[in-house]
Amino acid sequence: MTAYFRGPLFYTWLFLVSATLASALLGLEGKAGVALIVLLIALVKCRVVIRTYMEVHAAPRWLRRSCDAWLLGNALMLSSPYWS
Amino acid sequence: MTIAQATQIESEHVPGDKDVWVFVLGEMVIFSSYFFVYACLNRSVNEPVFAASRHHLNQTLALVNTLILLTSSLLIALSVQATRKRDYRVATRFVELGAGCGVLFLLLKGYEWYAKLSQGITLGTNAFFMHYFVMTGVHVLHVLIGLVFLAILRLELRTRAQPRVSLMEVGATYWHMVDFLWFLIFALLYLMR
Repeated sequence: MTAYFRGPLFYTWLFLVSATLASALLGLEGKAGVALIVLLIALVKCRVVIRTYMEVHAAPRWLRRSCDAWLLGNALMLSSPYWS
Repeated sequence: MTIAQATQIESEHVPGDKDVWVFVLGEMVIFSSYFFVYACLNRSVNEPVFAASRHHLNQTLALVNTLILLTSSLLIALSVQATRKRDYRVATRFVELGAGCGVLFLLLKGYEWYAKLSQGITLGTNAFFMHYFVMTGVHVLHVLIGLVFLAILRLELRTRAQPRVSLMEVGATYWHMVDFLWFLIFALLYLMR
């Protein structure tokens, strides 16, 4: 069972944990300016899960594009209230 | 079309099946629309109320819950890998541990809600807490549905001589969606001003 923890899925988990801790530390500071960085980290984490754990990296183009379009749409929509 | 292109298309694989992806993509769009409405309200005239209310949330508990869901996603991804290797006993164990993480997430979320309600904070307190309870509540509903999927995967692994990899992928796809939607809820509700 432990052999499974020596592969890329485990290294992905380590990255996701690190990114989560980094965004939590930034967010706890409570500064408005870091909100967009926190959003960016969350979207990067989403993409990593979609590509790696959900195996979309090996999926047909329509699925890869749909997922990336969703991420891009979220980046634009959720950051737009901060533009002004 | 060149031979290389044809080979690439042939090697492409939809994890699970197309139908579950149509469902999952639909869910993603619905959640995004709600996230957008919340983000606009967060930066509108409600900003002082939202900022003051956010201080009442337990960020540490939400962080722990994020780490728990991350771990459950790893375990479910490993269960798919173990199923492909026909290591069904280990795959079952990974599914059980992944589901255990899901249950732990629900228990912590229940505790978080209980703490809020004990302080007299409810859905009607203000706009922020209405969105807090609705957003986390809808997500909890998805975690519960995800746990049903995981129970089906466990049944598949324990009762079938040749468990279907495609079914494992369908359950895993849904569970991972529940996981990454929480990343955005965690950022929007608990961290972003």
